[in-house]
This record gives sequence, C-alpha cells and structure tokens, in this order.
Amino acid sequence: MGWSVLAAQFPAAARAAREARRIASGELPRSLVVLSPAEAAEVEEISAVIIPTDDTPGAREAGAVYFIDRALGDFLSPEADRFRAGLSDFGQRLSSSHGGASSIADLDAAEASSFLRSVQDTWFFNLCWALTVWGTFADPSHGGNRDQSGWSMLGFEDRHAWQPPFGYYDAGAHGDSG
Amino acid sequence: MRRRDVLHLGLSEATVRYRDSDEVDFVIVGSGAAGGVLARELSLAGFSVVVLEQGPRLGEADFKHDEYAYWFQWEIAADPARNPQTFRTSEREEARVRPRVPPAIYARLVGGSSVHFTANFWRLHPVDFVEGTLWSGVEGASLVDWPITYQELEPYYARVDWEVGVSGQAGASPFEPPRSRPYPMPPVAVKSSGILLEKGCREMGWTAFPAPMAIATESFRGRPGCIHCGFCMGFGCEVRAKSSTLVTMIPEAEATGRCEIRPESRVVGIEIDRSGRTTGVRYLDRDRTERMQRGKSVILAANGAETPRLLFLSESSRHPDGLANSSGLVGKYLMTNGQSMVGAAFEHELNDFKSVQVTRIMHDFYDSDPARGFYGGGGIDARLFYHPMLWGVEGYGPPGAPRWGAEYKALLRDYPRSMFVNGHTTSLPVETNSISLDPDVRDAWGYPAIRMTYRDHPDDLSTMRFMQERSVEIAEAAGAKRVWRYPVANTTITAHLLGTCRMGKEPAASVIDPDHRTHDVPNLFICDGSSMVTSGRGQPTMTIMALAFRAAERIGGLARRGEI
Repeated sequence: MGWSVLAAQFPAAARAAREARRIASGELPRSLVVLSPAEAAEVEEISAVIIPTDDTPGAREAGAVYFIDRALGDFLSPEADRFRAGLSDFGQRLSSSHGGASSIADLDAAEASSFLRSVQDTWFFNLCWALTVWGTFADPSHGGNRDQSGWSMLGFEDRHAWQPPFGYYDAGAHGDSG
Repeated sequence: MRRRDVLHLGLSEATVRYRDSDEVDFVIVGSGAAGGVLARELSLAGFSVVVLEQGPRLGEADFKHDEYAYWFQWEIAADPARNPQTFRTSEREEARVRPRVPPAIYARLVGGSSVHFTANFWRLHPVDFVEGTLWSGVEGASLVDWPITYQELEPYYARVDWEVGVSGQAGASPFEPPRSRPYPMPPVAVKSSGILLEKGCREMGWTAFPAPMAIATESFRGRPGCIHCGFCMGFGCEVRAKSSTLVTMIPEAEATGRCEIRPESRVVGIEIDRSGRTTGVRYLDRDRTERMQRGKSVILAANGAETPRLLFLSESSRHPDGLANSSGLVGKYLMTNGQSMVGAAFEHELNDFKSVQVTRIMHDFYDSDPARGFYGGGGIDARLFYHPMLWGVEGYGPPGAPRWGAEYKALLRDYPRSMFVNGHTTSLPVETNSISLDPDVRDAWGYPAIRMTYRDHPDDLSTMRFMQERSVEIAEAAGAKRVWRYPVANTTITAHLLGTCRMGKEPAASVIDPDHRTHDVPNLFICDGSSMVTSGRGQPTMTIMALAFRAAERIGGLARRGEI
C-alpha cells in the first residue's frame, strides 16, 4: 500500500524552508546555493542516468539538479556535507572501477547501469535518486520540473479544471450532457 | 433562494466571541468530521459552544495544487517536526520515532481531516453492527456487537447525505443497506478507472457501482459542483465542492451567533473538580500561553489518536491511569482498516489524474464468509492514487522494479495509462493494538508524544491478501497489459484511527455509553473515530459524521432535561 512506501521519504522540511521559498518566489534564478559548479555538473550527469533524455525530456531538461541544490540549502542542510562527501566517494569508486573515469557521463548506458547497481544501496545514491525523482516531478516553484517538462514527459497536466470525457475508456459514457 | 443559502451569505458578519471565564454550554475539542457536526447541531439547538482547534483556519484560497507542500512537507497534515509520533509492533519492542512519515496521519486545521480526505463516503452495513453475535468470537480479538444498530443510525446517515452533501446513486449496489432517502446529488462523472472496474467486475460476475462521495456534483446549499481538478486526496478543495465540515457545518454553526471556532488552540488537559465533574479544558493559545475555557460539558472530538492522548494527559492522583479509564480500555482496540494495492497499466490513456479519485466501487466481498476460513471482508475501488512525485518514487512499479535508465523511464511513462485496484478491509479490535503516551519523546510544546502499537491480526492480513487476489482478477479481466502487486504487509501508517474509546453498555467493557457519555465523568462526552466498536470496511468518515448527528441529538436532549 502506498502509505507504507511513503516511509522511505526523507525528512520533512523545517518551517524556515517555507520562508526561504517565499523570499525566492517567482522564477528561480539558475544559480547554485550549496554545490560547486563541478559538483552540480556531476549530480546532473547522475540524474541524467536515472531519468535519461531520449525523444522526451529527462531529469537534465527538468533541471532536477537545481531542486537538489536548493533542498541541500534548506530542509536538507544538515545533510549537505554528508551529501558532498558521498558524491566524492561516488566519484572515487567510479574512477577506480572504470580506469580513471572522471564522470559517469564517460560510461555508456550499460556500463553506467552496471555501476549504479554496485552503489545502489549507498546512502548517497538513494538520496540522490529520490531527489532526482522529486525534482523532476515536483511543482516547478520548487526549482526543478522546468517548464513542467517532467510532467509533460509523464503525460500529466495541471489545470484548474477538467471536463469529461477524461480518457479513452470513458469517452462513450458521458452522453450529450458531457 | 433556499433558506440555507441565506445562511451562507451571512458569513462575513463577525461571529460570537466568548471569554475563557464564560461558562459555555459545551466546549468541543476538535473541529473535524465529528466536531464540526456537533458544533452545528448543538448551536442550532440553542446551546452556547466553543470549539477549540489546534490548527489554523484556512480557506479555499489558501489551498493549492502542490504535492511537495502537502505530501512531503506536510503543510496541513502530520507535521512530524513539531508533533513527533513513535511506533512499535508490540509492547515488547521499544517504540521508535518516525521522523519522516508518522504512523497516524491526520490534518491539523479547522475542518480537520475532512478537509484533506479523499471523500469516499460508504455507510456501514447492518452486518457491521452485529458481527460479535454472528461470529461468536474470533481468537485474539474482541469482536463484539455495537450497542446500537444500523436501523438506529440510518436516519443520521440520511441527514449527512442531505445536510453535509453526498453524491451517489441509490439502488445501484445489490448490497446497499436500507436507506430512507435517495442521494441529494447524482454521482460523480465516471472516469476510465470506473469503466475499467465495471468491465473487470462484469467479466468476473461481480458488480461495480457509482461510488458515494462527499463531493458536490452540482450546486448544493450554496456551494458549487466539482470542477474535476484532480486534487482531492491529501489536498484542500479550492472551490468548496468537497463536503468538509470547514465549508458545510462550521459556517452554519457560526451563523447561529452561538458558536465560536477558536483556531490555534491546543488542548492539553481536562479539568476535573472534587465531585468528579469536568469544569472545562486547559489549552495553549498561539502564543503558548496556557488558558482555561470553562464549560458545563466537554465533548472530545479530536480523533482516535488525539482523544485518548488527551485522556492520558489528564491523569491525576484520582485518575492515575488517565481520565475516564476505569475500564482500562482508553487507547486500546485501535483499528485502522486494512489495505491492499494492485497496479494496472492499459493500452490506452485513462488520464486518471483528472477529477475525483474514485468513481466506481464493488462490495461483492463486503460480508465475512466462514467458507474463506478467516474473519473479514471489504470493498474494492479503482483510482490513480498517485500524484507525479510519489508515482515516480513508488507508483510506477512494484518493489524491485527498475529505478534508472530507459527501463525506468518507460515504466514512468505508463502514468496516464495506469490505475490501482485497491482493497479496503476490516481490522479486528485487538487489545494490544493501541494509542498511548510515549515515555520519552515529547512534542514541541513539551507534552508526551503519541505512541502507536500496532500489528494486524492474522485474519486481517488474510483478508488483505484475499482482496488483493480479487483485485488482480479484476485488473486482468479488464484487459490490463501490465499488472503489479504491492506485498501485503503489517500496517504501519494509517489515516483511519478507530476504536480507542469504544462505545458500549457495560462500564467495565467500554469507555462511553450509547449516548457518547463517558462512563466515569457525567459531563464528559466523546464522539469521533474512537467511538467505533468495529472498523467497517474502510472509509469511516461517513459513519463518524452520522454518529455525531446522533450524539448531538442525544447529548442535547440530556442537557435540556437537566440530566447532565
């Protein structure tokens, strides 16, 4: 049941996080709060392996890394140092297992997938995975899901109102009154 | 214009304000499904009422389509940062704080969880009230009859339909309990998930029928009909179509000029005088200043976790085990309703993210059947359940499904073609399943945290597995191209908090009497999910509201006759 897997979530935000977001309301600047440009670049490459780009947008186009950076700057700030250390460790493992590779982007899809299997139980990868998914699909006001690209990839659209028919299977069920 | 509409138009007028020292007729703790109904009924009947609500007062303009805000940052519900809870599966374990998602999920704002609930509004059936007799006991549980029957409660179910606002189609279910009136509004427009549930059930020889929902489908008592935005479950309605007490009962209570709703008022104790009667409640206002509201009677309607907590917080030398607890049963027999879940993806788009969650349900396995070899029954619905973030975390596939790369993305993109076939089932009342005070953990106000102890009875797990198998059969018969299951497991999170101050005639075997009066304190009453004797089959809010209509009539009668 859905409730049970909810337990895998990460800490709920502090009240202060909400205040920070209000201050930063409106179109968010594409600038980094916590991560260095090099760290952000590698986090973006990891996110792009998790939700790759094909003929539809992936985590890269959604700007998931900006959601991640902002999260590390507010409600996950107590974990920011551990996250950066985890990223560093991720890079060292990658380098030692793949002949000095400096980025997961240096690997092809099969190699990258195989490498992720080797780190899939680490704290860093699980947090990075969850934040990538959240950042791709959260409301754009939180920093990711740029131009609702994550939603459009899913086939989800947020509107104030809808009218039937809603989908293929109920198209014939509504009669003249709609 | 109907008379009730005029009542709504009068809302902008300032409502009555009482002083703490005013001895009002009733102090009600909690403004949710039960508290809102009690406030409206008792104030309409001429009594002075103060409702103390720990959360803020929000309105439709405050609500938004933001999954992250409500499901991840808990802006209106749960609030684990300030209101921690602990959980364990048995008394032999040390309970541990659940920092991310607490075990008991409920909303803290005026209107309570009726604001953020999904609005499934099933009535109990006659059988729910008499299973103690029918089953003559289940090992490891206290399955007993209610002291009231379905027939006694039916008029109040009808009042909920017509005064709070429920949509549906009378006569559509072959298993429908007797009803004195039809629904006041037609059912919600069917979605593709409803059509597919109908198809799967038809193939299996079962019957899906329009779901009763606390959603206005047309203009009703001054509120507009649903606009199908798709943000009900876990969200507040932005157009007042969802029939929460926030937009139904509470404005009508305030319009009487006799009821004050006092938000951000956190009750921390019930005062008892030397004669053993309550004189009011102690509460913390928004500035954390402790105050006392005096009242001739107190009604607890704080939900099945907060109500027993408050009774425990009110312990004293004369009530060392908590107030109203001579039976020792306060907090015990917690029931949550079991759940099972099956995912199903189809060839074409359902787009089930639109409109209300549920449009069709089935009750073919509502009743228990001894031939199954265990006690229990339930209903099944079809719904998308997930908004995009949680779909990406867990909705797209079962545990162990790919979670990166092209395979993961392909599963993600099943979103508009997917639905879930969910079982909603009985929970047996087990004495060791409970709400109590954690001995170590405290909330942000310095008071002991809620501790939940819960392990499903073996028959409850068997019922969940049985309903999951039926759900798989429905999904496959409906033509799903991909079907996936979530393992049935012990319940660790719930939004249904039932049975913890059960109703009964015997003071030794229950906490409240059939009038909702505590056996121990003559002017202290309890009405909320804690009053329920058995769990029903899921979707308890309709019954909580019906109980509140009945309780208000009983309690008001006692007050008028000078019998409190």
